[in-house]
Amino acid sequence: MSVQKMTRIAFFSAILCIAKVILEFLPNVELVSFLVIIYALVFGREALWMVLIFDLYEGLQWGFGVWWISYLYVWPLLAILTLCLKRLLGEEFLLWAVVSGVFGLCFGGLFALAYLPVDPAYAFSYFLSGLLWDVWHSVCNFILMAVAGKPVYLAIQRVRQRSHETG
Amino acid sequence: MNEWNKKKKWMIVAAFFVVVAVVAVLAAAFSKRQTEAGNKQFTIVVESARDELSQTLSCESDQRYLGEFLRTLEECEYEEGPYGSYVTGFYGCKEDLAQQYWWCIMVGDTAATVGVDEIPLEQGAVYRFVLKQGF
Repeated sequence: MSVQKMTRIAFFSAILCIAKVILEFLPNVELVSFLVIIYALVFGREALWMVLIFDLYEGLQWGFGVWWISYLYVWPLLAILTLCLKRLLGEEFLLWAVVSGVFGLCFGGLFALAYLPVDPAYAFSYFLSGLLWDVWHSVCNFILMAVAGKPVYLAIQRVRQRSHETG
Repeated sequence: MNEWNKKKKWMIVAAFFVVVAVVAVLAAAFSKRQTEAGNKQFTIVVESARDELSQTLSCESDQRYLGEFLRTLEECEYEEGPYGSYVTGFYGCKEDLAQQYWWCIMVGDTAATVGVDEIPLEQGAVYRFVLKQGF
């Protein structure tokens, strides 16, 4: 892996971390889903590295509990889903907003999957008690992507092109 | 590249919001907790291996939620946060987030998924507060 690529991965995964911290005071309003989709659209499979490094940062910051296992599959899953839908949806950011919204709606359920082997009753009640928050998460994800998706995508696309020209 | 016309796009968006609305209604129905009126007898167990603490309290209250009762219990220390009451200690044994010590709330043998202000008091129930380490 080239130094330029490693630097790019480190830089954009650090942005993911900062984006998460910035909105932590607002429950279930986050920029991580938004950025993961944009990264996957701009950088393709490289986004998976960014997401995994972000997961590592989160583990180092908060400790490697069961929740971290959820992070290990939830965020890469969103990146993979984006890569799969990239050809179909292209640059239709209203539809990416729907993807981001659906992901927000499923987040609690996906997150609870890691708790199934530990305690199925807990996993299920965790999912049910968080369902209203998932709805809120979904609507916020939709709005963020619908409003800021295209401009942020174009800005990061430009950064990527410039780094290719200078690299 | 797939061509998306305006009508098709808005139909997908509308379908998405219908699904979100249905889930919201279901979630609201699930989150509505039944509470019992009147006097209830229940047990509170406090366990901390770190502090070698194990206490069982037989309690009685006509309040509806565990959080309301804990506010009146002098053995319990708590903070009022944006999401309601947050238990920080019992009998002077405090949580220590830097060392990842926190109070796990259990109703019977199952870890609670909501805060004390949303846990209904029930006749005969056992509420356990166990100091755990590690997130």
